[in-house]
Amino acid sequence: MKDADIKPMVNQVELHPLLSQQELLSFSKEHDIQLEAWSPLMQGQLFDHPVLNDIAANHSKSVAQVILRWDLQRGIVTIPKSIKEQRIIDNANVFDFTLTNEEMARIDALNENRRVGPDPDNFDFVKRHRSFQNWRKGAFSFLNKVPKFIDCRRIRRRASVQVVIKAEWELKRMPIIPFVLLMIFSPVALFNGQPRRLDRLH
Amino acid sequence: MTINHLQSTTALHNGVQMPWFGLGVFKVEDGSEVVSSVKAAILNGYRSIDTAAIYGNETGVGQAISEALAETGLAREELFVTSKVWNADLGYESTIAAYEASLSKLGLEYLDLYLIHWPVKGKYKEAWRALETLYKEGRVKAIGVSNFKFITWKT
Repeated sequence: MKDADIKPMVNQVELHPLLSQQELLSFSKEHDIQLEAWSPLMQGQLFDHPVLNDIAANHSKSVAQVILRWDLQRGIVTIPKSIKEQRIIDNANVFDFTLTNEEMARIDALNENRRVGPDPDNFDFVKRHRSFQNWRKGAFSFLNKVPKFIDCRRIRRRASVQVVIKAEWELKRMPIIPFVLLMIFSPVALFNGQPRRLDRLH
Repeated sequence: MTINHLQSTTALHNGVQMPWFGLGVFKVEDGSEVVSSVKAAILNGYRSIDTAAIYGNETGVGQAISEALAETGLAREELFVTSKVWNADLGYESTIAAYEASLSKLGLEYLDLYLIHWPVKGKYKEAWRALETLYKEGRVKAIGVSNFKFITWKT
């Protein structure tokens, strides 16, 4: 962005205790760019972490609250996701306690540069886009692969588990069809052919 | 820097106040799911909502915002709404069009923050020029990037 007239005001990146982004944080502070964390809770993968649980117990707080507080004390804007009202309320309940410097350092030390999302240096956006679209179609994305002669509209309209199982079964069954036909017709063919072959032999 | 409640803000380098804490809606389904979570957030004191064109839920976010504003009596200016331009729309004209599309889905006159979602090589510079135009014309309060490792600019 060497040609940019305006310096970005914000950079939003994947950031959580296993990807602490310390270098980017220092750079951002030095240049007055606000760093913002996406997937601050690492999509729920940190809730069993012993160090975080230990610190959470010190404050009678949850691991999520400790992580979000860690963000704020580092000067990082944080945007946790939740669809449950109680969780939405709990996540924001981080303004009545302070992590000690030692606790902050213990969390900082958990960094493994580990991502749950794509690496900005190495992402194929077409592939990403496709996988994202598949993700949005959720568990039913495989229905796109169902051959056309199965009534997809019917399956989509009634996308219940039962229908999905049925569709899966139909898919799996399909390669069997030629064998079934072969098994039905081959004895007939053999039987029919037998006398003629005998005839020819004699 | 005092961060002592949910509505505490940080001053961006252009002076815009951005809440330290917000609700993200990645992977939240459009429709009742996103409407109920965004409304729950605003009714419980959140002032910042982060979405993106690719999340596919801007319509629901917009509906939730308008309902929450009506129920709480808050003004639009008291909320901080972020969205992002998707990779496929990076380009000068296409980014401006994507901004308009996001605004219309959200039912908003302006966004508080508009970001380039991913640093797609060879494409994000034109998109940034578009964001600069939107910013200079006062149509967006702040602009930024997402998933950038290094940032350089003219000084």
